[in-house]
Amino acid sequence: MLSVSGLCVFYGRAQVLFDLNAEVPRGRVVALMGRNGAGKSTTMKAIMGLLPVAAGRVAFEGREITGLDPYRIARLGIGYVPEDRRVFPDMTVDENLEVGRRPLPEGAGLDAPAWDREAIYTLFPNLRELRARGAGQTSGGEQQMLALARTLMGNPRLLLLDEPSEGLAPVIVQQMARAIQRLKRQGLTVLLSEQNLRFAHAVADEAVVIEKGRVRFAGSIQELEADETLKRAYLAV
Amino acid sequence: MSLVVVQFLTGLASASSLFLVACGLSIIFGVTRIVNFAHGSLYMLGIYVAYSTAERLMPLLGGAGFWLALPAAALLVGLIGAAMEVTVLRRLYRSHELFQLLATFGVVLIVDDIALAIWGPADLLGPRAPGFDGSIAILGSKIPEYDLVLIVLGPLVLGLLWLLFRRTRWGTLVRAATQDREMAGALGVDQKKLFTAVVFLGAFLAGLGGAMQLPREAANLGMDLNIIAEAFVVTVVGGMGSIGGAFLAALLVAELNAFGILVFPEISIVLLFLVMAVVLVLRPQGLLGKAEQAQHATHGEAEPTLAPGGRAMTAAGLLLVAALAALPTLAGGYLLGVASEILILALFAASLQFIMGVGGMISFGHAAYLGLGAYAAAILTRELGAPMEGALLAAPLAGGLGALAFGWFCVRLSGVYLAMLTLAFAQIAWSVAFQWTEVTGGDNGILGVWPSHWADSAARFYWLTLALVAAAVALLRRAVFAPFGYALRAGRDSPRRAQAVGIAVRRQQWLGFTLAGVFAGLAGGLYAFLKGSVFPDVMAIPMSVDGLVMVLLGGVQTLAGPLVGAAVYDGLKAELVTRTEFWRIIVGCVIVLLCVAFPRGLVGNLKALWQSRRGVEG
Repeated sequence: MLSVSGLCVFYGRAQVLFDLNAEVPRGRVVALMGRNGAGKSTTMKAIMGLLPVAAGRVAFEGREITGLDPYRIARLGIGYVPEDRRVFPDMTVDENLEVGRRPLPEGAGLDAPAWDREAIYTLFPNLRELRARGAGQTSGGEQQMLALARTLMGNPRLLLLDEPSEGLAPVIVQQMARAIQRLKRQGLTVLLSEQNLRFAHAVADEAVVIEKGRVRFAGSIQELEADETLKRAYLAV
Repeated sequence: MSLVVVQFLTGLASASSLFLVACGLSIIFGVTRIVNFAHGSLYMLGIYVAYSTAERLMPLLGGAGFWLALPAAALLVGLIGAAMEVTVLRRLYRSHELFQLLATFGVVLIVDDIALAIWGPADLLGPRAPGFDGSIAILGSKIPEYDLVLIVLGPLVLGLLWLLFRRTRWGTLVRAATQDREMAGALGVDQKKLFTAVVFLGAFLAGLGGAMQLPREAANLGMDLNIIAEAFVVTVVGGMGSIGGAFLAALLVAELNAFGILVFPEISIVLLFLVMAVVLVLRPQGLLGKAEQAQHATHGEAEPTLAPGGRAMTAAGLLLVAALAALPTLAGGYLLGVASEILILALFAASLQFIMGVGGMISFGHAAYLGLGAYAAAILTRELGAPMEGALLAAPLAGGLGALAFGWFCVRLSGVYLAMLTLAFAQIAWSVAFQWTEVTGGDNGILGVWPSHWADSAARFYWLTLALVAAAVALLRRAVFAPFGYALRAGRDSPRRAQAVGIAVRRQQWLGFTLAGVFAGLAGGLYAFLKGSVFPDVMAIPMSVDGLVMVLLGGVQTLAGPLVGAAVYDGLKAELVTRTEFWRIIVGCVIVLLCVAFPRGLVGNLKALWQSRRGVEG
């Protein structure tokens, strides 16, 4: 569904991604793994069009999207949840959802349900109680839920989830994992970046491990789980 | 009692137009992060277009023609604003705020000349409002009926805007983009369309504000800068991006004006800016504004580092001074006068560049210190009979003291807020010079400020200027590469980290600001003796902007830049003014082009070209 090939990205003169390749098949959950600074968030942002791509291409459902404006990429059906959540703090939870709302593109909706507020509040019941509260006045976990919910309102077919478990209490991490599993059962394709192997193991089918902007491993999550040297070299802290 | 009521209602009526302009400015800033200097020009266009439209429609439709002309004018101004967004603003969203302010000032100049070409220099008095041309008695005093229309209009627009932003999807998207435009884009919001629409709305409001003034005052070419200074005060006092704040502040400012004229007619403008200064110090984000949140910075190009020039540079500098010293053997009096002026302005620009490039503080009111120096020198020689030498010592002192006082407030702010506050202080200085007739001569200025006998030939004064300017520029350069300059640059690049290593950033900036004021004051003293006179113009907004353009022409991060910039700009302007009445439009286009195409300035771009040719890593 998403195909990244030969991706190179620079911050100024410093190269951060080197010839990065990754595939996200339809209906699968792929974990992009690696330590801090490995280039996970950069990859996400580059796919979303938030960073300029120096070389390589990104294709979504066979269509090249490299160099498109972020809003066009979003409208094609890619939803992005940033690592720092970036909810609109001075707007209510409900208004945040409104910003994310997009009508379902024609002919789509076969592999994902159409989201509306009701469906969102069923998936995240505690957001319903907070709907009139300013997003800036909610907890970190609630903001993470809101950021995901807001993106779902755009009815994406592919979800880019940047570090969904980062900085959250264990209870919330579990809720997050359950939410992702449910989305996957509903047929949503997900690329998530993650440092935590346990979380990745709970939700992902496949893993791509990167270090210093280069791919070191691509395969099933079980393979990664079994390979101690790989884990020690690229994931252990 | 009745006088109080009348003044109060007049204040309310004036507040409406001010509110329309300021909230348009604020809405545009909220989403695009651009402070639109040209917003006053849109207001001015509003009244001119309303004048012409009413003139055509009223013979056809009678009174209805007038009431149709006002919204029609606002609509047209809105479209002009949208066109400005597409052609100019859109290219500036990623630029430094300095270029945004300057480019929109370029638009001010362009609109000025277009208005001059279409409507001519004379004031145009519009028709009275049909149906509201009488006055009614309230508590025994007569109030124009039209004022009541305006009094109702302000809250009405406030309510409509509230509905628009709180109750419509479009308003929700605008607010989202105001808080985090990149994230809004990643959620599928088309920013380009949204931005154009927002600028249309802001321009529409400014145009409406102008059009509504048609029955109240005569349209004239000075309206743009007058209203923009007030609108800056209103948005800063009310809080940038806050519509309710703009309304509150517009009321405050308009009432202050209305009553200030009763109590202190001489210094009503000063009162206004003093209120602004007090509000900003106590509540830097404005009455209803929110404290600035960390913006998600776009990854712009890193600024090239300043490096001392080395021996070759010093030699080249000395050679340049020697070559300039030889000029009187070749050129006559007029040319030497122009050359002296360029040198003086180069010093002015260099002092401005020091706080901008090294200190990271954009001043839109640097002419205040030039003017303080000039007035100090003029008053000393004319009123107290001091010799030129003494006056030239007093000038930098005056500039420095002014910068010390104003700078104390200014360094508490940063970015556009700082720029707007410096502009406000320069307006205070200007209005004092303009209104305090007994001391400054007001509009008539101070005449007969001549140099001492030993320096009274064009060549000798030129040499004196060259010596002082060369020494001052050398000192400034020295300061840049002294620990003092390093500390300033550290504070500019990363205030928090600079503080963490023990630099008192705010005090450092204050001292830097003062030092720049000292050198600007020296330039002002020389300027007074060169011209033989001083007028309030020396500290008006256009003079401050001239300084900025010179710095920009040369390149903000290029130490030699201001010298080249002053030579090119002042030479060009002197040439243009003699050739055409419409020189502003040319200068305006140059400024806009410069901001859009060459943000590194002439010298900066040449340097970049040179470095890329040689493959030098910067």
